[in-house]
Amino acid sequence: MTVAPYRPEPATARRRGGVLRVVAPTDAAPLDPSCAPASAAPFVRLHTRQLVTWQTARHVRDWQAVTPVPDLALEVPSTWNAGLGASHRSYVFHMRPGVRWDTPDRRPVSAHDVVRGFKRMCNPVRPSPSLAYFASTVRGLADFATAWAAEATHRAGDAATLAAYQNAHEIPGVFALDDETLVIELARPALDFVHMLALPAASAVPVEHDAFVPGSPEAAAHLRANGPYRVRRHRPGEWVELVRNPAWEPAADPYRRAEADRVELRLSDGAGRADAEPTDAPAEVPVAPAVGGLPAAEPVDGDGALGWALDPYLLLNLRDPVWADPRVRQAVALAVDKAAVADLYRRHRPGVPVRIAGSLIPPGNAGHDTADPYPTGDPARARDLLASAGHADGTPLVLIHPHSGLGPEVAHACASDLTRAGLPTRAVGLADAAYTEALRAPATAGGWQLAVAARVPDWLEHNGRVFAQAMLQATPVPGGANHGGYAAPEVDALIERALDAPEPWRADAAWRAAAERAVADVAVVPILHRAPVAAPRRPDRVDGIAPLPPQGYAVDLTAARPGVDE
Amino acid sequence: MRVSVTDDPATTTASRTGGPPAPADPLRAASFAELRSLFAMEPDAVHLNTGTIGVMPYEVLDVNDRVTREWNGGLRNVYPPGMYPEHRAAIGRAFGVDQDEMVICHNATEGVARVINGLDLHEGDEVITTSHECYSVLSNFNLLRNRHRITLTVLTPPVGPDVTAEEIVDMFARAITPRTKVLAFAAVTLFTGTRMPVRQLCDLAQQHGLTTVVDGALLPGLFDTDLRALGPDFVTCSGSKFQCGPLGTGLLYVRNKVHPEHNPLPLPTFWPVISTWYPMMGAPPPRTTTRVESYNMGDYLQSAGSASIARGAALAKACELWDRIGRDRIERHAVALGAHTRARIVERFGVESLYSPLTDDRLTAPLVAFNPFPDRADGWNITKFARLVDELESRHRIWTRWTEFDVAGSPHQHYAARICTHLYNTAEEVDRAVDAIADLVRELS
Repeated sequence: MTVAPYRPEPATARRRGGVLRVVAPTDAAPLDPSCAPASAAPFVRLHTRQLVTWQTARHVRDWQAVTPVPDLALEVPSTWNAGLGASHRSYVFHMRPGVRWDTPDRRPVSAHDVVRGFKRMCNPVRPSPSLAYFASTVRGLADFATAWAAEATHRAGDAATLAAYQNAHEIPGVFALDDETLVIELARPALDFVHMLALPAASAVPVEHDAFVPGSPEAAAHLRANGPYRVRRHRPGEWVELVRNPAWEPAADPYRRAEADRVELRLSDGAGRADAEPTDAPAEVPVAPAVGGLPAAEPVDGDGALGWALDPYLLLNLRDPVWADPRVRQAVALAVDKAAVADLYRRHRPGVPVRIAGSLIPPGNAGHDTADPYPTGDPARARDLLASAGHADGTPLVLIHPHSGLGPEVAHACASDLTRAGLPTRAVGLADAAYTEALRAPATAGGWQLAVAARVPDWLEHNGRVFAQAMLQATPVPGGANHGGYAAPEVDALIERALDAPEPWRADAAWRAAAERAVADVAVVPILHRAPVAAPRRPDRVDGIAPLPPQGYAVDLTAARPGVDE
Repeated sequence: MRVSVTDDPATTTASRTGGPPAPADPLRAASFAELRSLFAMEPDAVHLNTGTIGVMPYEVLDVNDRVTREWNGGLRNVYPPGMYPEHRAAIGRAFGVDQDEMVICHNATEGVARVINGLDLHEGDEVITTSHECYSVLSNFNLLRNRHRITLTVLTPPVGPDVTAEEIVDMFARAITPRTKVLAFAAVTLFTGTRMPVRQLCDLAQQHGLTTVVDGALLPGLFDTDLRALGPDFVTCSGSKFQCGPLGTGLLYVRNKVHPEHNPLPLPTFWPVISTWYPMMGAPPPRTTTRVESYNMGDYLQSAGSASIARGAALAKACELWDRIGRDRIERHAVALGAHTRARIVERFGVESLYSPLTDDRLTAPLVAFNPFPDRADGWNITKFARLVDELESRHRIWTRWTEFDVAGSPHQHYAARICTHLYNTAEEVDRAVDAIADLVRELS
């Protein structure tokens, strides 16, 4: 089935061109797609392309907006177009002609470039945060990643060594038949596999990137683009400037526009804070911070919307011995006054529906459940549990949070609740990039016992794994969002059952069971489920604002039209 | 190895179900070279893809055209002829069944959808089928999986020259559980041209009290078949493939009485979805337990609003022609050509190139699937097979197709070139195709 490309009608006669200014959290714009998280997809999409992508939504209930559309691929493989076998384990992609790299020779993007992208996401230096999805799905990819990681422990991590390994080894289930044809074989059928291919991790990567360590400043400085923009210059953590990519042909890109001449990302830890709202920058587009979502945003379709977020939740660093006794963990779950956090959200995010969360998977996502094992805000019972566990007040717990969005407010509220219940807690704010690094590598980023976090789904259909697998699975491959180091064989078995299930309802039941068990274990403490929001349409500031629902309802930056002086 | 394929002269063996043909009927005595002239074929084209669509005889085209015109704009009641009582009776006789068990439908997909969705299945009930079924079968069972939460167990049957009927039956037998209710399989698989051991599989099903759903899309017009004697509960057929009727025609057999020598099980509960004349109040009488039907299930299924009277008549004409030529003769000719095809493929590309059965005669059919490329890894290279088939068509005007399927134990989706032979084909055509394929393989390798 082919989905017709969506070309938003211009709301005004505003000309193409101008400078689109975007204000975003400092961790929001990792430029190297191989190690960029799903949350960076709206940026990565400016200069990279994937086999499939999304189109903006006329209406958020429009099914076309949550269904992948072909990007580098000519068609989304299906049984109808002979791209997908009856067992749903073998996908054939035919590359779209006319897509070229921003290289001196304007080389066509080939199937081999996609193979390189798959390998590079497995790199042991900076593996993709989405790696676990692919490792559990693509045939042989997990072994490829773990073997490379093992090899890397006794090899240098320089670019040449990495490239040599990458180019000498193959992922058995990802291979090019020729420049124009790619085959991806799965270890098991996965109804969400095509959705995964829209993630930054699955971007095509040119051979020029082999000269740089993934995720390094050098890599970011030498990126080759195949999207509508290319990076002209950037200062890590501060700003990125993108200009038109001369190698990009609109006719070969049905789902991206390139309205602005230039895109400037201003990275700020004040992003998403009401007191940092731009008032004098008519061409600015805000990008949602991790915690709290966008201020001054419009809720998307109320209760029935797809893709509610788990926002916020408390993450326990289970490597810390303080959490060894389950009663101490349960005390945390009981101590947090979720209703107070909900009030806080309603104050700072008026009009955005939130619900007190008892379960890991929010509404509008596969595997959602309304179970709530721990009633909210019961400090007396929390204190009893701590007493029965023999927990003594000691060194205060460290609760890290990002500076952006509502991170500080949530952290301070939770720290007060925990302290009141007998768990002295100190909120420690980190710059967004440092916070992301602290979650990614907790052992090397200083001790923390708790973190305020939020999770927005990486796609919207058949997406139980974006919560339960990413946050709970004890996987041998790095990446994912199991930042607390949770490891429960029973939960892992339920995750495997869900991944194995060909029936959506059976998968959903397993996701639900896995999530329930982990919440009962207090691997995390869900606090709120937040409705998705989209940036409001403000034609007086920036025209052409349209959301990409599967990318957290983020603005399609290629379609935004800044004002152009006549 | 070379199989001699010659014109089969008029046989003294009467067609099994149609009774002895009239001695004077010239079609019974016509050579296959003469019979070829019955078909509206392009003279310089080689049609080796009857598994996808057959060539209609001129007479069938004429009937289709004439009846369309007869009923166009008239004031006569169009509903009674849409029940096709005489056509169903005649076609039923050709396949060993009665009029109340035979339905003319729109195609095999429609038939299979009506059967699968009419089964009385509930949550937890298990259906066993194979990954080599037509997509229509798998998609409709998946629909039941979503709708009723049945369990669908999909087996991948063995393939290759040495596969035996016992292996296939054993594969199904090992998969049966106490929750199994249905075995579903093709009579002839479209991907590898394996003639499944239908009678043995029905025996197995009957031993376990299971309902059998057979996708017989490739059966009519190719094999001289007694549907009742095969022992299944349901068989869905195409009318436009080997039976060479118009596109948009099919046949559906629904067991509607109990002949213990063929299938002693009680008739399964069945819901004839899509029906005008299923009772609008109340229910049909209990299903019979004897050789006499308690009601006409065929009528329930046949009554589906206005029908394509012309296409039904044209399909009936095709069936009549087959009866006059002799279904047994047609089968022998096609099968012999199939054997010739396999022999030529083995000679040119090696026995290991075959995905179709070879050594077990019970499994062979005149649909031969093979990988002609010397590099075995090309077996999962879709571009080479697509190119091969395209070039055969554009350069040589030889029409074949490629197929795709799972191979047990292989992580890859495999592809094969497929040659089908029928009554209008000749050994020379097969030789020409195999030679052309060999040339193209050299070019593409």
